[in-house]
Amino acid sequence: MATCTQPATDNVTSGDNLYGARTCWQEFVDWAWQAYGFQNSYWDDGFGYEDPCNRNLPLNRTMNALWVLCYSAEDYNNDEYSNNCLHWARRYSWNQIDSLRSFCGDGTLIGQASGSNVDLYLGFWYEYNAVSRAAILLHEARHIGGKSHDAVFPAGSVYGEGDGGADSTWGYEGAWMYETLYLWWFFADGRRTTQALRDRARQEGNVNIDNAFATHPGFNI
Amino acid sequence: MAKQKSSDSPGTDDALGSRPHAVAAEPGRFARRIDRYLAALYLTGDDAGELHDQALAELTREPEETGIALARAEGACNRRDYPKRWALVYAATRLDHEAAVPYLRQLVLRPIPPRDRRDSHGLSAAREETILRTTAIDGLGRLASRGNKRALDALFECLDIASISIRRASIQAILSAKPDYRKRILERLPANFRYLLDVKRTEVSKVPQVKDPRKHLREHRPADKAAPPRFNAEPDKPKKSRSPKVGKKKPRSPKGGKKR
Repeated sequence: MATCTQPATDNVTSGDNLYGARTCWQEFVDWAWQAYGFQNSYWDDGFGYEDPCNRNLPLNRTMNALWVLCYSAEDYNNDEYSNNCLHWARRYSWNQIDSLRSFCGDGTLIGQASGSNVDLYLGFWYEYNAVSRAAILLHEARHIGGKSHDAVFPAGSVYGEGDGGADSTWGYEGAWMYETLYLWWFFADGRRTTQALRDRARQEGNVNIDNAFATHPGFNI
Repeated sequence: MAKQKSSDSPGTDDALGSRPHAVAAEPGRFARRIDRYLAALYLTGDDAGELHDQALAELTREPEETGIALARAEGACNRRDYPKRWALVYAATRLDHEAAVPYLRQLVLRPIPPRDRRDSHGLSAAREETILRTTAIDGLGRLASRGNKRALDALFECLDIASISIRRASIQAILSAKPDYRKRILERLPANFRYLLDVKRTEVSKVPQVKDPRKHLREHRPADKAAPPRFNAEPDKPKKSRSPKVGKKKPRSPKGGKKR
């Protein structure tokens, strides 16, 4: 059994106070629990099953990311795939992911697709804001859709020049493109959020564009 | 890349503990102003704009001291609390005042810690540190666009940093302020980074979208799961948006948790 400790966290700047007030809502918690295949055996022992409104705990911080995915489009119920990514990301992610699972981890991973599940680790909840977490979930959902990374990171990449894990191009439509496109749409048209979180999404999207594609697409946000 | 569960994959019995965290108390009016401004940055609702403007006016009342206080506050943060650190950098850019230049410049020029993760799905401290710096560069760019020479000079210094994003952000900030400086930038950039001069800011609607997301759904999926519930009140007033069924009760543990 691994044991880990919550790091110090600021729930204002992580967006968890903003979104946590919204996810303290039984109907949503119950829906998300089923839709994303949570299992209490993975979310008890301090991860939040016993206290779903506690913004310091992983379960609520995951629910906040799911709320971002579900309700950030203006007409959020219009999640047709013919619409833009801000609309369909929720539908895509809940249809891809069989189960979200929580782990301490060893500090090297934040999340990974594991078969049809997505495993989440401590850094996911405590080093990323709620919007970034939403984009990460979409990234992992794309892997479940069968698309692995197919290239090495470019010279000077923050992800490690020459290491595997990049997407070859934007047109490859891999996990980095999904994550970045979501951040981009969130910046451009995200609703029920703040300008600071939108601006942060822009910065993240730009760093992904610069560093996560073997061939720079030639545009940015 | 997508990974299969390994044989030594962790079990379900991981446990998360909490311990009281010492809150770094930095008394004084600047700390209080900063806290108020950060809180205002993450508010929504009808009066959010007004509260933001009030907090910003307070923050900019003594910009020199505030710039120093923001730098101190960022320096005192847990280094891996990137959301808080980013918010402090962002606040410095919102000062829109020359007093922020020393801090923003110093932040960008500070060496980026070496990469400390072993997987593309791990936390990249280099990525997070880079995002802090590109945000600072945007702040310098806003000042440079209004004719601030110190900010423009700092942006040229940033061109020497061997980072794709720092160079790209600096180029775009300089060209926004001085569209005719392309040649000067070209002379300063190493040959293998000159392609960044041609990266264009674009609207998301004008870049290639996912052609057909359904094509990438896993095969043999059951029918769509049910859509999430509608919230029927303004989400900025969460107490009113709770389901009437729940009323004012605190949500309990989710229903239907599957026992393994």
